[in-house]
Amino acid sequence: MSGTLTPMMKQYLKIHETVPDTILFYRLGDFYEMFFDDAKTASKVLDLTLTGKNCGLSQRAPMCGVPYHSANNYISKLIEKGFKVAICEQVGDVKESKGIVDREITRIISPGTVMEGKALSEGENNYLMGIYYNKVDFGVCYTDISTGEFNVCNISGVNRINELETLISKVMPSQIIVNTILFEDKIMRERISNLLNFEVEPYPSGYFALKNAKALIKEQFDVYSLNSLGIEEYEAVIKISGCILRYLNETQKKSLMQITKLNLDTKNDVMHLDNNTKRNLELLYNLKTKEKKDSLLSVLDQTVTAMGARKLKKWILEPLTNKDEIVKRQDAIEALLSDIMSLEDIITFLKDVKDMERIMARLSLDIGNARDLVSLKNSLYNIPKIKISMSYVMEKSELLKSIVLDIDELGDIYDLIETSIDEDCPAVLKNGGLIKKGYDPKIDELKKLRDNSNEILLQLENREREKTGIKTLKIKYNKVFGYFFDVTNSFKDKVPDYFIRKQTLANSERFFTDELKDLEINLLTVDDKLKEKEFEEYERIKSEVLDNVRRVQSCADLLSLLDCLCSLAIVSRINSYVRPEIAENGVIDIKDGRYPVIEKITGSDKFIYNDTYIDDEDNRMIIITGANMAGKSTYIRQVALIVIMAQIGSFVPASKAKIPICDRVFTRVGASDDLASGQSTFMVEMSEVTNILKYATKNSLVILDEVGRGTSTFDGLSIAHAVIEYLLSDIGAKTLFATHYHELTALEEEKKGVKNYSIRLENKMGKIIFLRKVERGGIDKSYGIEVAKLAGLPDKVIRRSEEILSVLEKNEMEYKMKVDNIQTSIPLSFEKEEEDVVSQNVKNILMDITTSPIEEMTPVEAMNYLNEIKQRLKAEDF
Amino acid sequence: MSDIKLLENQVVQKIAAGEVVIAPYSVLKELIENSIDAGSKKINVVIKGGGKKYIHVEDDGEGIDERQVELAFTKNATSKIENLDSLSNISTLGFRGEALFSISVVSNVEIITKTDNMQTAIKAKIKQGKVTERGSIPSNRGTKITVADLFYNVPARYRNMKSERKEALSCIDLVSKLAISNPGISFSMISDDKNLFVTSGDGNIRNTITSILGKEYTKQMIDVEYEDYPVTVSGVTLSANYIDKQIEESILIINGRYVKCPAISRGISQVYKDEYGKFSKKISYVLYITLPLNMTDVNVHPSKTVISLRSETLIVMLICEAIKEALYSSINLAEVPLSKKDLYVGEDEDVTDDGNQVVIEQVSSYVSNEYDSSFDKENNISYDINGEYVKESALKDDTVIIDDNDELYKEYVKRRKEISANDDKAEEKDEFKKNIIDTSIFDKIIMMKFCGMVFSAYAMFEMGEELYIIDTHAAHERVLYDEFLKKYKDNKLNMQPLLNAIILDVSVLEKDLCVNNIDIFKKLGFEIDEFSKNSIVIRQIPSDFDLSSAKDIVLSILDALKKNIFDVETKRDELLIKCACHSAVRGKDFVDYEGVIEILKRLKNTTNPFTCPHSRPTVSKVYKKYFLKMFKRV
Repeated sequence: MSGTLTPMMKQYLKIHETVPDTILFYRLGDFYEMFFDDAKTASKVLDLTLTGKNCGLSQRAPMCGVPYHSANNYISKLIEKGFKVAICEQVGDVKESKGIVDREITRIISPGTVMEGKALSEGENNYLMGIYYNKVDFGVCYTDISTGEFNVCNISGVNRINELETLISKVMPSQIIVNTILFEDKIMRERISNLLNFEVEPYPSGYFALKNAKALIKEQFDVYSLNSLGIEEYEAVIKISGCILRYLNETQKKSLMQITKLNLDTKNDVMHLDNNTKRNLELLYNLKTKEKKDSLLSVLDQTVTAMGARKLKKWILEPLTNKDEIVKRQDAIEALLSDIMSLEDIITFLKDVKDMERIMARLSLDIGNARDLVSLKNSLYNIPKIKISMSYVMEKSELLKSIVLDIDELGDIYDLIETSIDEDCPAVLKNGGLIKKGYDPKIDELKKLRDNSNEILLQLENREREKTGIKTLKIKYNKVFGYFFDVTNSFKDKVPDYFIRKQTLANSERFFTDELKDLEINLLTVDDKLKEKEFEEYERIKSEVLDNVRRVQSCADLLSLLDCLCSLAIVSRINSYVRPEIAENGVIDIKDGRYPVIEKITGSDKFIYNDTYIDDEDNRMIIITGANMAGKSTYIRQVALIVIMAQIGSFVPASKAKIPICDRVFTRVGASDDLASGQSTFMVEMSEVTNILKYATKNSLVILDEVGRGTSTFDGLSIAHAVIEYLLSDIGAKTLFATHYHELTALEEEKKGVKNYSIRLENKMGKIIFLRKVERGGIDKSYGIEVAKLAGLPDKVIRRSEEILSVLEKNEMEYKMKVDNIQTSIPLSFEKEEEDVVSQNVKNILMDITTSPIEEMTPVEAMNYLNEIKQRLKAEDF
Repeated sequence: MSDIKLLENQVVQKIAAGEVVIAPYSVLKELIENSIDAGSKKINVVIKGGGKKYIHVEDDGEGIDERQVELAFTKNATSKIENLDSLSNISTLGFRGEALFSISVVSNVEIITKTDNMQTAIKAKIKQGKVTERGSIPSNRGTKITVADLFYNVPARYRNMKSERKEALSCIDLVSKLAISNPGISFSMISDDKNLFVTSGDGNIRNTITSILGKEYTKQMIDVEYEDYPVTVSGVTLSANYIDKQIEESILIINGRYVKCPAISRGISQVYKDEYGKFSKKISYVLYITLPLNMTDVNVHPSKTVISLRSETLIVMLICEAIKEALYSSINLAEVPLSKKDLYVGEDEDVTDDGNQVVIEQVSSYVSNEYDSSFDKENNISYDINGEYVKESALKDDTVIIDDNDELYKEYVKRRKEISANDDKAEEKDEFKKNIIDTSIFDKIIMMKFCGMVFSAYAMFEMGEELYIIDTHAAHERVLYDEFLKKYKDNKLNMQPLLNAIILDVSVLEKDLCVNNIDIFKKLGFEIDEFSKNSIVIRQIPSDFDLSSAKDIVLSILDALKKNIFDVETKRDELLIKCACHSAVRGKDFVDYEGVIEILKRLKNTTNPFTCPHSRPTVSKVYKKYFLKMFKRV
C-alpha cells in the first residue's frame, strides 16, 4: 500500500475498531461522514451520493455524509433496516486544539435503544430485552430507555419455554441480548427468532458476572440491598439486569436518570392471553394487514397523549383479574360519564400534555434541548385546571380521587422553567436565545453590553451620516457580511476613501470601515460569551429538572392513567356501551351483545344483537352449529372480546352484561397454514389445541372454531368429540365450540353441562337470508351447498352436489340404521371399555382357518392357502 | 269562467299531504315522534342532501307487526287515539293518523320493522299508501324507515324547498330540539356522512345539553328545580355572570314536547330585567315543564309547536318564580377551588371563572366603591348631599356579600326593582338600537355641561336628569382606527422618519418573524429592519402615531403575528391595525376639556362611534334616579 493515512483517517480507523459492527457516523464540521464500507452500505440504504475523500492512500476512500441537523431521520432508517449506528463527535475545542480535534464515540444506537425519528413511534414502547438462561430458569429483563421503564421477570418450571414465548410475544422487543448458553441452544434460538424477525445477540459471560451485576443494580436504583427490589433470590434476574445495565452504560455513555424503578413482573394479577388469542381476536392488530385499523385497540383508543396511548395498549394486553381493581376503573368511567362537560374539559386540558416521559429520557441522554424544557413546562400548565374539573366528578370514584390527591403539580418545576427559559428559544443549544430576561443578572449584563454595542453602532451611523452627508446612509446586517454601511446609488459619489467596498447590488453598494469592523468584533466577543453563559445556565437548569425525574414520572403516570380512563369513557359514550356487572358466581350473562369492531364497520344498526348465557354447571359447554358464514365465528369471538373488555375495566357493547373473572382466554380460530415453519393447517391446529388442553383451568374461557377441520371427517369428528369431553370433565372450563359436526349435538342429551345453539338460515324461494340470530337447539343442516351457490359456483356443479348430497344423506341414514341394528353403537364416553371392533371379513377368515382341512393339504397347497389368507387379510386395516 | 269540477282523489291526497309534509324537517318530526311513541331507547337519524335526497330514522322501539304494516300507512289510521275524548288527554306526540300516509304519497318510502314476536323483520316499499314490495330480512327489534326523493312527484313543492344547506339546518335544529326534549332517549345524527352529535340517553339534562349545545353553553347555565302545583320546572337557565356574554339558545319543553310560548319567554326575560337591568342578548335557558294534560292544547297548529295554555298567567308566574329561585340560590353557592395556587391566571383569562365575581361587579357598578362627596362644586349638582356616607361597608368589601349578607342582597334587589319599575319600558328595549343609528347624541353631549375627568380616562357630561360618561381611551382608539384604516385603504399613509431610530430587543424567533414580514410592517407604515441576531431597528412610523408608543405598537403587532390567528389577508391587516391603535392610546391621557371635545367631534364621524374597535362601549348613560336611590332619597 503506497502512501500513508492522513491523521484524521488514522483517528477514524482507530475509533472504528472499538465499534466494529456498527455504521460509524464521524463528525466533520456540520456533517456526519461515513467512510469505506460504511459509506457504501449507507449510500445504498439511505440513497445518498457516494463520493470519495483523499485519505493519504493511492486510492480515495469512499465517503458519504449527512448534515448534522437532519441526521435523525437517517439514523432511524438505518436502525429500521437492522443496522447499528455509532455517533462520533468532536469533543475538543476546535479553536484550541493543535492538529486534529479530539473525537469520541458519544453514543451507540441500536434497535433497542433508538430514540429518533420514525423508528420510535409515539404511541408505542420500544423495548430492549435480555434473557439469561442457566438451563433451569430464564432471567428476563426488558427496558424502554425512551420512557425509563425497567421490567424484570423470572421464568421457571415445566412450562417455562412456553411462558417465555408468551412474554416475548407480549413485549415484542426490537432487540434481544442473550448469554452464550441460550445462544448455543439452537432450538431455543430458533423458537425465539420465529416470534420476531431478527436474531438474538450473544454476549460474553463477563457481562453476566454476579458481583458486578449486583453493584450496577444497586447503583442505578439507589438501593442498599437487592432485597428492597425483591430480586435478591433470583440470580438469573440479577445477572441479566446487570448485563442490560452494563450494555446501556457502554452504548449510551450517559447516566440513565430516567430509569428510576425496577418492576418485578409477577404475572399473577393479570389475565393470561396467549399469542394466538391476541392474534385471533385482533386485539392490537388486524389479521390481514397487521395494522392497528379494525382492531380492538382502534375502537378503544381515544387517548390524547402519547403516554396514554402506550398505557392503553398495556391495559389491553393485561386485563385484570382482581375484582376490586376492575370495579375501581368502572367507577371512574361512570363518574366521568356523569358530567360530560367536565369530561370534555379534562380531555381538552390533557391535549396540551406532551410526552413527559420521553422528554425526561431525552434530557437524560443529552439529546434534548431547551424546547423540550418548554414542552415540559407547557404540559404542567394545565394540571391545576385538570384537578378542578376532576373535583366535580371524583365524588363517586376512588381512583379519580386518588389521582387528584396524589398528583404532584410540579409547580416548582413549572416556575423554574417559566422564569428561566425563553418561550421562543430555538432548538439549537449553542446559539443563545435560551434564557429569559430577568433570570440571571450576569446574562442580562452581557445582553445590555451587547445592546450598548447596538447603541454605539447607531451612533456611528449618525456620525457617518453627518460626516459624509449621505442622507440615506444605513448600517445593515446580514449573516454573510455581518455589519456594513449601505449606500444607495444616488449618493455613490459622496463615499469617502476610508469606506472599503464590500458588495455591489442593483440599487446600492455596501462598505465597511475599520471602526465598524472593530465594533463588530467587540460585539461578537460579547456574543460568544453570552452564548456560552446561556448554555451553561441551560445545563444547570436541565440538571435541576433531571433531579426531579421520579416526580415527573409519577405525575406522567397519573396523567396517562387519567387519559386511559377518559378514553374508555368517551368510547363507551359514542358506542352506547353498558357497565358490566362483575359476577361472583362464574356466570357469563350477556343481553343484546355486539361485536365491538364489526359494529363500527357495518354500522350498529346492521349488526344483529345476540344473547349469551354460560355458567359453571349446566351451561358450561356451548356447542354452536349452523351454516358457513352464518356468524358462528363472529359470535364466539364476540363473547371472548366482551369478557376481555370487561376485565380491562371498560364498558361493553350490550344492553346488559354479567361477566365473571376468567384467568385465561384461549382461542382456536381460523385456518392458517404455517407453511414457513413446515407445519400444515391441521398440525398448527392440533398444536394450538394441545396448548389449550395443557393450560386451561376451570376458570378459563375457551373459544374453539371448527376443531378437527384440517383432516378427514371421521378423524376430525372423533377428535372434536374427545376434546369436548375432556374440556367438560377434566378441565371444566367455559367453552364455546362452533362446529359443522351436527353429530355432536347429540351430546346435549348425553352429558350434563352441554347446550346446543345454532344460527339458522332462511331459504325463501331459493333466496338465502342469514338470520344471524343465535337460538337454542342444534341444527342438522350445514347449508354448505346453498352458501357455495352464493359464492357463484356454477349451476351444474351445484345441482350435481345436491344429487350426491341426497345420496350420502340417504346412505348415512341407512348406515345409521344398520349400525343401530348391530348394536355396535359408537362409544360415547371414555368410561366404557374400548372394544375391539372386529370386522366381518376377519371373522370370516378366522372361521375359515378353524374349519379348513389342513391335515389333508399338500405342502404346496398349504403354502398357497396361507398366501390366500394373507391376501384376504391385506384388505384389513390394522 | 271555467266549470267547477271535483278534484281527482290523487290530487286531493297530494294537497292534503302538503299540509302535513312541508319540508324534510317535518318528515323527520313525524318519524321521530313515532319512534318516541313506540318506546324507543335509541333513535338514529341519517340525512343526505339536507333531507331532500334521503332521510332515515331507525329506532329500537316496539316495531310494527307484519300484519299491521299496510294499515299503518293507510290514511287516518293511528294507534294513538280511539275517539274524540282521547284528544283532550293526549300523551303521545303523534295522533292525527295522517303522517305516514302523507309521507308515502310524496316520496319513496321503505320500512324495515320487527316486533319481539317476529322471527325476522319485514321489509317493505310503500307508494301512495300501498305496500308494493314485501320481503323478510334479519334485523333487531325496532323500526327503520327510509324516505327518499321527497316531493319527486310534486314539482311545485320540490322547487319550493330551500337549498340543501338550509334544509339541513332545519333538520338539525329539529332533531336537536327533539333530543333535548327527550334526555332519556339516546339520539345520534349523521348528515352527509358527518357525525353531528350523540346523546347518551342517561336522563341527565346537563349531559344531554352538553352533547348538543356544547360545553361552553352548559358552563354558562345554573340549575333550575322547582315544584308548585300545577307546575314542575327543571332544567337550566342563564347564570347572571354571563349576561350579555352568553351563547344564545332558549328551549321550552312542556310535557316532553318542544314548544314555543311567547308569554313564557317574555316572563323569563322580565325576571332578568328586574334583577339585573338592561341587557341586549336574549336570555338562554332549557326548561322542562310538566303540567296536567288537560291544561294544554297542542292541536292549535298542524306542526304542534305552538301551544295554548289554560290559566296562562298562573303558569307563567310560577315559571318565573322558578327562575328567580334559581338565580337567588346560585349566588349563595360558594365554590372552593382545589389548589391554593388557583389557576395560573394569564392576562386574558376571564376572572369570572371564580363563580360570583361579576355579580359583585354588577353590584358595584350601582354603588361606588370609594364614595367621594367632594364633587366639583362649581358645576352645581342639583341634588343635596348631606355629607352622610352611605353605610355600604358590607358592599365595599366584595367578598363579604356572598358569605354573610344574604339579607342585604335581598334588600338591595328589592331596591333595584323599584328603580327599574319607574323606567320607561319601551325606551329600555330599544335604547341601544336607537343609539346605533342616531349620532346626534354626540352633538348634544358636546353642548352639555362638562363635569370633569375621573381616573384620567372618563369624561363626565351632565344635562337635566342624565349623566353621560365617555371612555376617552375607547373613543380615541376608535378615532385613530377609523382614520388609520381609511388612510391605509386609500394608500395615503404618511410615515415619519425617526430622528433617532429605535432599537428593539427581541428573541431570535421574533426577529425572524419580523424579517419575514417586513412587507406587512411596511404596508402598515412601519419601516423596520434586522439589526442583529436578536434585535430589530425601527426607522419610520406612521405619522398618526406617537413616538413614545412606537415600541409598544410594534411589539403588539409582533405579538399578533406570533399568534397567527389570521385566515384572510384583509382581516389580518385590520386586526393588526386594531392592535396598533390599542397600543397607541395606552397611557395617553386626555386631561383637559378641549382635548375631550376634540375627540368627541372626531368620534362622531367614525363608522361606529358607540364602540371601540374591540367592541367596548365608548359612551354610557346614568340617570339621576340611580344617584337618588344610592343615597336612599327615593
